Amino acid sequence: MNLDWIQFIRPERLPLVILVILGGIVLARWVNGFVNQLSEGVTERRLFIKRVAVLTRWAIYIGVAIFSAATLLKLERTALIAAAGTIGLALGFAFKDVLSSMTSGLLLVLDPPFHVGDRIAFGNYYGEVTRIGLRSVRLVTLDDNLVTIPNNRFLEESVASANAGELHCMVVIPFYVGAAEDFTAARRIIHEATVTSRYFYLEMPVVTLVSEEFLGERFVTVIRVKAYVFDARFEKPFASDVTERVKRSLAAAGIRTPDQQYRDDALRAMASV
Amino acid sequence: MKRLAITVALGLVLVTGAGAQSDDDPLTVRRDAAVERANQLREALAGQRPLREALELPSTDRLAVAVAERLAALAEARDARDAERAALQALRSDLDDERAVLRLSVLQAENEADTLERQALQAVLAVLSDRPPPADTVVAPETGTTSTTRAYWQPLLFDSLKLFVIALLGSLICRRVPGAVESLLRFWGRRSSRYHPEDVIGLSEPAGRLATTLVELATAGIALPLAPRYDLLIFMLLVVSSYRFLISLTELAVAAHPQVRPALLTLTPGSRSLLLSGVRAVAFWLFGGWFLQHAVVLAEPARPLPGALQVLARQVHVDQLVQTVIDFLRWPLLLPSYAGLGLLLAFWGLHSWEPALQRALREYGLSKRLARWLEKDPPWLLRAFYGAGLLLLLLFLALRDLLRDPRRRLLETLGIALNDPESSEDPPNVVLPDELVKNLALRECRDEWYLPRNGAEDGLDEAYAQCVANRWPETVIVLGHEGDGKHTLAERWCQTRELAGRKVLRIRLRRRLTTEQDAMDWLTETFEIEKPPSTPVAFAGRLSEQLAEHIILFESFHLAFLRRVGGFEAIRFLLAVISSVQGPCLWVVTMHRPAWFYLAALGGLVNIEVFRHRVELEPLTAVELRQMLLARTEAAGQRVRFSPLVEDRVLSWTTVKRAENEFFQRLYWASKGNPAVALALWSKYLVPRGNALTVSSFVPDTGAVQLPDSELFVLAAIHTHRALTEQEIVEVTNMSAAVVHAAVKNLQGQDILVERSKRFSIAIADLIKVSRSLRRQHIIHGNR
Repeated sequence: MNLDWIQFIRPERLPLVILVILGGIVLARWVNGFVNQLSEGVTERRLFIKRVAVLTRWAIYIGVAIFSAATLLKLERTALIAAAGTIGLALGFAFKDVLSSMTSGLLLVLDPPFHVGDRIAFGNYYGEVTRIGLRSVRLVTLDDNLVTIPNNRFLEESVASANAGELHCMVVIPFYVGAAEDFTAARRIIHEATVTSRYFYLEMPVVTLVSEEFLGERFVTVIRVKAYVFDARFEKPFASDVTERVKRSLAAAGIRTPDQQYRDDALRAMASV
Repeated sequence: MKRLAITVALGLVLVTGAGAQSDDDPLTVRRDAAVERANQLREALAGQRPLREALELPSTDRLAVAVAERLAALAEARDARDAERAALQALRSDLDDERAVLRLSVLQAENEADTLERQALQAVLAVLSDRPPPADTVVAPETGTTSTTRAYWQPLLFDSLKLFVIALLGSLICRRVPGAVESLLRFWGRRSSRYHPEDVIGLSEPAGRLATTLVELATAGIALPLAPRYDLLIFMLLVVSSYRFLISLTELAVAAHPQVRPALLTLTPGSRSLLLSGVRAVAFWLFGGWFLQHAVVLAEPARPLPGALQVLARQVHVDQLVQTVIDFLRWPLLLPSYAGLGLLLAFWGLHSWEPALQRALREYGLSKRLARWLEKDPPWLLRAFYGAGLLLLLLFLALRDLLRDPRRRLLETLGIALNDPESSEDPPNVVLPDELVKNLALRECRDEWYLPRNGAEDGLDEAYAQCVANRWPETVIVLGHEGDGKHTLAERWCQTRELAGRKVLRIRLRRRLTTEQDAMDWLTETFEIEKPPSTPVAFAGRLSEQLAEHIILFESFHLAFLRRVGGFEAIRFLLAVISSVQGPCLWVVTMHRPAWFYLAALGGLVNIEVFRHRVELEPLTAVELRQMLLARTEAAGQRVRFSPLVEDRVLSWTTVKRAENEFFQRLYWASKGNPAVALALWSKYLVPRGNALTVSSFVPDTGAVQLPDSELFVLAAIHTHRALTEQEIVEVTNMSAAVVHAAVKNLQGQDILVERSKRFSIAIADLIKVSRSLRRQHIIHGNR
C-alpha cells in the first residue's frame, strides 16, 4: 500500500482539527436551532431567516473545511503537485457519491430552485423543505413523513416549487356542480366562500373559472377557484375551509352536485314510468 | 354693549355691501390676508421657513414675553370672532345669504390662520421650554399673563462662568502636579535608604501622570453639582478621566523588565504591553458602556439610533434575537464548553499564526519595528495565557452584564424599547381626578384641543365644492382606525357647514346588517318610509327629494357587512341606494379602515367605486400627540412630574427633560399616532401623588403577543370588523363555537378583548400591539 501521502500531513495538528470540526458541527447545529426558534416567532420573515441560516451553515462548513485542510496539510507547491494525483484519485474513488452530493448541495445553495420552507413536488413526494444539508435535502410530506433526497438528484430531475421563496402560495380548488344548476349563483357562492376564508391572502387576486366537462358518463359544470393562501403551511386547511363553506352554502341555495342531480333525475324518471 | 356694537356694525356692512363682492371688497381683502397668513404659517410649520420670521417675533431677549402676549391676543381675537359669528347667525336670516356666507368664510379663514399661529407659537414655546426656565419666570400661555424678571439664560451664563473658573483652576493645578510629585519623590528618595535615586526618577513620570488624572477627576466631580446645565459635558470628562486614571494606575503598578524602578509587577516589555492592551480593552468596554448608558441613550431619546438603523433593528426583532442568545448562554452546560473552546482557539491562534506572521513581516518588510517586537517577545505560551485570560475576562464581563439584568442593559444601549415583563407592570390601581378622566375621554374634544387634520378637511371641502358646483350627488368616504378621530373630524366639518346654512342629516348604523332585508328594514326605519319598495332604485327615488340639498353624515358604515358567504348583500344594497339618489346632496360616510381595505381587496364583489372621494385620516405626529395629551391634562388643572423616571443619582433638570422626551417617544411608538390609544396609555401611566400627577415608568415596547392560531384568527376577525358577537366570530372564522368561546375567554382573561353589549372588541390600549402581532404573524397584510 502506498503511504507516501502521509508525509504531507501534520499529525501533531490532528487533535486541533478534530476540535475545530466538532466546534463547527456544534455551531451549525446551534445556528439551526436558533433560527428555527426565531423564525417561528416571526412568521412574516420565516423564509428569509431560514434562507440566511442555510447560507450561514454552508459558510461554516466551507470555513471549517478550508481551515482543516490548511492546518492539517503541508501545502508546499511541489508537494501538492506530487500528491495531487494520488490523493485526488483516492478521494475520488472513496467518496464519489458523497462528493457528488456535496457539489450538488453547493449548487443548490448558489442557484436555488427552491428554498427552505418552500412547498415542492419532487418525484412522488410533495411537502415542505425543512433542510438543505451537505449531502441531502429533507422534505416533510403532508402525511408528516420525513423524506431524505440526495442533493445530486435535484440536478437530474425537475422539481416544482409552489411558493418559490414566498410565504403565500396559490391553491386551486375544483368544485363540481350539476350541469343543469344555476352556475352563476354557484360561482358567486364559491367566490364569496374563498374570499371570506380566514386563510385567504388579500394581497393577491382570486380567479374563478367555469368549464363544462364530461365526467363519469355525464356532463358536469366544473368551477375552479384559484386563490392564494397567506402561508403555504395552511394550504390544505385553506382548501378544506373553502370546501366546507361552499358545500354548506350550495346546499342552502339548493344547488346540487352532479351526483345529486343524477339521482334526482333518475328518481323522477322512475316516478314518471 | 360690545356685542350690540358688533351686531349694528355687521348689519350695516351686510346691508350696504350686499352683492358687491369685488377684489377691493374689505371682506375679500380680509379673507385673502388671512389665507396668505395661513399659508406662510403652514410653510413655517413644515420647516420651509424660519418660525420666528413667519411670526414676526422680536429678538431673543424678549421672545418668551412676546410669545405669551401673542397667545393672549389670539385668545382675545377668538372671543371677538365668536361674538361676531353669533351676531351673524342672528342676522343672517334677514340679510343677503351670499354676503353672510362670505362673512362666515372670512371668519373661518381667520380662525384657521389663528389656529396655525397658535400652533407655531406653541412650537416656539416648546423650544424655549427645552431650555432651563429661570426660577422666577412664569409664562402662562393659556391665560396670557406673564411676568418675567430675569432672562432665562442668565443662569446658563453663571454655569458657564463657574465651569470656566473650575476648568482654569484644574488645568493650572494639573500643570504643576507632575513637577510637585517629582520633587516629593526626590525628597522621599533622599530620606529613604531602601530606594536609589534612579528608582525614584523612574517612578516620578507615571506617578505624576496618575496624580494629574486624579486632579482631573476631582475637578470634574466638583464641577458636576456646581454647573448642572453642563452635566453631559462634565459627565463625558468624568468618564474619560476615569479611563485615564485606570490606565495610569496600571502603568505605575507594572514595570517593564529593563526599567529599574519599584513596581508591584515587573514584566518583559511585550508582556507589559499586552497587559496594558488588555486593561485598555476592559476599561474601554466598561466606561464606554457606562457612557452610552447614561449619556447617549438619554441624550437624544427621539433618535436613540439613527432612524433607519432603529427601524432595521425593530424589523429584525433584535429583542427576540438577544433574548434567544441570552437563553442560550444561560444554558449552564454549554458555558464551560464555550469558554474552553474560546480558550483553545485563542491559544491556537497565538501559537500557530505567530511564526507565519513573523515570517511574512520579515519577507515583505512590512514593519521592522513590529517584526523586532515579535522576535524579542516572550515565549508564545505566555502570550497565549494572556490572550486566553483576556478572552475569559471579557466573556465574564459580558455575561455578568447580560445576566444581571437580562436584555435591558444591552437593549437600552441600543436604544430599543423593551418588552420586559418586569418593566411592564402596571402602576398601582389609583383613581385619577374626575375632571381629568373627563378630559382624557376621546369624545370630549374642546375647540382648543382639536388638532386640524388639514389633508382630510381639504378632501371634504373638495367633495363639497364639487357637489355645490355641479349640483350633483357626491360621495366621500372617511377612513380611519378605531380612535383615529373619524367622528370628530366629520362632525366638526358638518358643523361648519351647518353654520354656513347647509342642512345636515346625521344617520348611524347601530346594528349589523348582512342581508338585503336587513338593509331595507334599516332604511325604512331611519327615513320613516311608508310602504317601502323592494329595489334600491325605488328606494333611491323615494329618498331623492328628502335628501336634496342635504349633507348626509352616515357613520359606522362598516357594520353593513360580515365576512361570510352571503354577508355582503346589505352593503351592496346600501351602496346601490347611495349611488342612485339624485339631486345635489353630499354623502359623508365614515368607515373602519381595515374593513375598507378588506372590501377593496375583494375585487368587484362589493362596488366601492361608488365613493368618488376618499379621505384617509393620517396618524398624529409625535409633537401633536404630546401637545394633545398635555393640553388635556393641564386643562384639568393638573401638572405632571416626570422626575420618578430618573434615578436619584443622575437627577437634574436636563435628565428629567430627557426622560420626559423618551417617555413621549415611546408612547408615540406604542400608539403609532392614534389619539385614542395614546390617551388610554397616558391614563394608564399617570399616578396621582399629592397634588401632582407623576409618571414613574416608561411605556413598554408593544411587541408581539404570542398566541395560538385560533386566538390570532379571532383577533384578525375583530380587527377587520372592529366589534363582533361570539356568534358573528363563529360565522367569520368558520371555527367551531367551542373553539371560539375558549379563545374569546382566554383573550378576555388577558385583557386583550373587552366586551360591550355582548360585542367583543380589542382593548383600545392594546390595539397597536395586536395589529403589530397580527402583521408579524402574517395574518393581516399590507397597509391595513
